[in-house]
Amino acid sequence: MIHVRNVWVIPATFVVAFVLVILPLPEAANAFRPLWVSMVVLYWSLAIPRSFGIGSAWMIGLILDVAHGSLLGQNALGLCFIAYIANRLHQQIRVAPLGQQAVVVTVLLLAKQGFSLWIYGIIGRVPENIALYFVPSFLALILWPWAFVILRDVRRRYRIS
Amino acid sequence: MQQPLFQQEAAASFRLIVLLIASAVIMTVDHRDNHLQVVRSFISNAIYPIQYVVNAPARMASWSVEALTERRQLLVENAGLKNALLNLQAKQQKLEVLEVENQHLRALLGSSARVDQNVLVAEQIAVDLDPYKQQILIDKGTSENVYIGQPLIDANGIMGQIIHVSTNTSTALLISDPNHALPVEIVRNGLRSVIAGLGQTDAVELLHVPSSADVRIGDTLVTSGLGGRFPADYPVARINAIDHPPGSAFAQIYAQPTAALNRSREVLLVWHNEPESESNQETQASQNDTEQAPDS
Repeated sequence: MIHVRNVWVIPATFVVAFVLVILPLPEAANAFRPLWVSMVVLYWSLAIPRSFGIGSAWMIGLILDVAHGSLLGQNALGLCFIAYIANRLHQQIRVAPLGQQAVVVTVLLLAKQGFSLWIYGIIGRVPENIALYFVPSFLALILWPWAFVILRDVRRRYRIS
Repeated sequence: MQQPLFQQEAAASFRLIVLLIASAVIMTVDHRDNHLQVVRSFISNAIYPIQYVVNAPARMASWSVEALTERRQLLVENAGLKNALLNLQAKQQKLEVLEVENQHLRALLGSSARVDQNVLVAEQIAVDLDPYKQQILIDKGTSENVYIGQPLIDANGIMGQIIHVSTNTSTALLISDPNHALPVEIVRNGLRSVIAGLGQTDAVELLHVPSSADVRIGDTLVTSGLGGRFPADYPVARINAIDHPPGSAFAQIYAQPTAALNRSREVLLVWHNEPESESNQETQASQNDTEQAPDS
């Protein structure tokens, strides 16, 4: 249950994630930007699967598409798919140690990037270096434990469950 | 009250399928036409505060550079600018005479006079977009009558065109994007061609030029105005590599854009219509919406 007073906390985490996603980086580093928004979507779909479902993930995906200037629906497609899997398997994933969780999250992010790449392929705009395209997903191996702990503290502090 | 587990899962799967289909549909519509412009500009307006906040450090940095420059440095810069202005004014005098003469000659030839162009300075918003697309976000939108398909230039040449607008911001596709093509001609001999982006900011490719064509390294390319979307005679790029692959009827020609695609912070929006005829501009905009010219 989420107390009405604390409902703003979830959008606030997304605002922070979006800031990290559009923050200007040097051109060389831009391709290595971690998938912050997708990670936050995964966190909430694992933590509160009943309130944060695939519909919310889809909406976030649309906003991400506009923020990125990509095709409308490109990120939404992948995000609602991985949110669905996270919702279905939340009981198994949540109890796993952080390291194993990070591996699962990485696999889900790879799937999401795969969807996105597939759409790039359909519209005839395949990135030159496909290997490079999947690197941001692997950053979740390192970043997920930190993101998880921080978001869990936020969630406990505001008693969202 | 919670639903039985099975029903819940079935409902979730159903919703997933609906959303996947919805994504596919809106992607198709968004890719083909601009019908989803309303949705996009609505979301765009919603995330404008975030973009504004992210852009704030860059704005503050440029402000503090202005505010904290030394007096001596300002004086030097001022002198330089005065010099440049004098130079430009001298050139302008000649230009005005030439313009009148040109219009006379055109009238004599019975061809239509060229229209004046109206420009507006816009500033690039320092946020990063999709790293696999060559596009920039600027700080002018529908509130300044920016329209889809509007040409964007900087001090040295064509940069790109507007593809999405919202109230306060708009997104421009740069000429270096692989999905952008622009009709050009070579200044030296008027040879017409089309340039397409390659996904890098420092190179574009000249398409469909026969191997026997008279093209040299260093040739300047200007817009030919044939697509109807870009005004004619703006510099676009300079040819810097020509290759004749054996067995091919076409030459491989690469050019470097004259505009600083990845550096210009200040850009110019061009209205290539009379500024006072509002209705004219409207039709222009709607034409640009529907027309699938070669440069879209």
